[in-house]
Amino acid sequence: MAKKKLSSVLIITTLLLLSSCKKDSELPPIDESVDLDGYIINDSSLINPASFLLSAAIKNPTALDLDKPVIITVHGFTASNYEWTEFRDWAKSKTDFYTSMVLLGGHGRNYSEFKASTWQNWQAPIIDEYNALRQLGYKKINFIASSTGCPLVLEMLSSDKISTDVLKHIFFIDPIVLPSNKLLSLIPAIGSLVGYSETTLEPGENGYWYKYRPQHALKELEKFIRQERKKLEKGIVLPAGVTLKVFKSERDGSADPTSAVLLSKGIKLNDGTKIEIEMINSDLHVFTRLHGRKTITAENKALQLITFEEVYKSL
Amino acid sequence: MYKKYFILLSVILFVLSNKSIAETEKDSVSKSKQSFALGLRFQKAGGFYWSNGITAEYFNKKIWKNKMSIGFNFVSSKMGTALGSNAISFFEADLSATKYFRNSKNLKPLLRLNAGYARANFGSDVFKNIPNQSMLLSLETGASYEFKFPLKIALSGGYNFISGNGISGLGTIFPVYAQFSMLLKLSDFKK
Repeated sequence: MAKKKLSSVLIITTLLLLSSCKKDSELPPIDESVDLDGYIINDSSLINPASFLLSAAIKNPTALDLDKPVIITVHGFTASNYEWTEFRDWAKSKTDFYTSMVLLGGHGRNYSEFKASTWQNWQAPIIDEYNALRQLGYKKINFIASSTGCPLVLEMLSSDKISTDVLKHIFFIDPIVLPSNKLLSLIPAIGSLVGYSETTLEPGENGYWYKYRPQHALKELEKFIRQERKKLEKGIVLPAGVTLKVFKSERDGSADPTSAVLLSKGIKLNDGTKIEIEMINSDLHVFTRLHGRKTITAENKALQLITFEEVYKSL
Repeated sequence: MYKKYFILLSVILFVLSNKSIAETEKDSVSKSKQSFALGLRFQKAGGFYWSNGITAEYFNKKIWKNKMSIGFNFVSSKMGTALGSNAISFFEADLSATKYFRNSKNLKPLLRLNAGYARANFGSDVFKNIPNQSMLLSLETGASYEFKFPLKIALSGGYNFISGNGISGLGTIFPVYAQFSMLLKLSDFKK
């Protein structure tokens, strides 16, 4: 009798749980006039790539162009090229290097395309742009990446997906290999109950970041950074001639600051020495991006400019 | 990944429960008033490291009617994932209180409350402002099985109420974990 009662309770609980699940096909309440997740607002690079990608802007570079260093910017999960526009605008005051802004696959488009994309899709445009610039003959290519963009660049190197003969310097800003919210680790198990999660954006961020994160994308992120942590455990050696510097906010609320520890322990330069790590006195995630934030302090601005200058001087 | 753990746990529990149902009570009940067991604990955080170490458990029939025990667990990533790798080394030490159900059977469902302390070694002063220690509080549920010879095994899943974000808590503490322990009964006291 007791067993029957228990079975009934279990069946009812299961049915209640299943009925409370959001259907996978269910769309979040996207506001087409505001949200990047809709079909109306897209990243501008999709319409006008020549304003973002150097390979599209200068189809026939001169010998002088090819001698200049290029920095490929790589944004993070759910973000868009907007994350690096301040750096690009700052770089316009310099005439001795180029920037090339890569939009990750599945990003800057709409919810459905984001949902259908894999981490390999996110990474593909980074590889494409590097290869295009190398093919054109650029001799000094560099990367500056933020958040999820960092492990995407690192994976490219550790899996030998690019020829690194013209790769010089890599800069990571607030890389993520360990999430701040550890509940992300439960996504493989409970993802189908979640459906999607909503992020609170500041008004100035609307239209530049996806507001809704489908469980597929969260699963993909979790799977990808877990895989990268395992690679770091085994150890990654950078190609000869390539340097890496990591800048990490000490109070980053999205990418656990401990990510910097994992990178420090797991990556070595080709000569066996340690990579450079600088912990930044900041509570911002991607402290180099200030546009769109509600509050920007003088200290935030100073840190941003110091970092831009340091990157520039390293070229 | 979790599905594999769940299926494994289900199969083990099914096999053991069928075996234990067929057994008589006299086979299964320890007549001792006190006992002490010492063994190994293998712990895997969901999505993170293996941390292995030791576990100890003390029963006292008079105080806890043999349905409850107190214990001590010490696990370290140095004896798990960080052994011979670049993983972060840390340890977790906790005291536990375990409540057993179906006490007359060999297979006993269990509920365990752990409270303790964790500390990590980040290996450089550069990381001095990242928290490297934390209190621990977790709840486990699972089952233990007592063999006729003085060996007990326990398999359980746990939830850490305090997990770290690297700002206000140690970032190596993940919310969900599974553990398997093997304990040897070192002594029975009939006082």
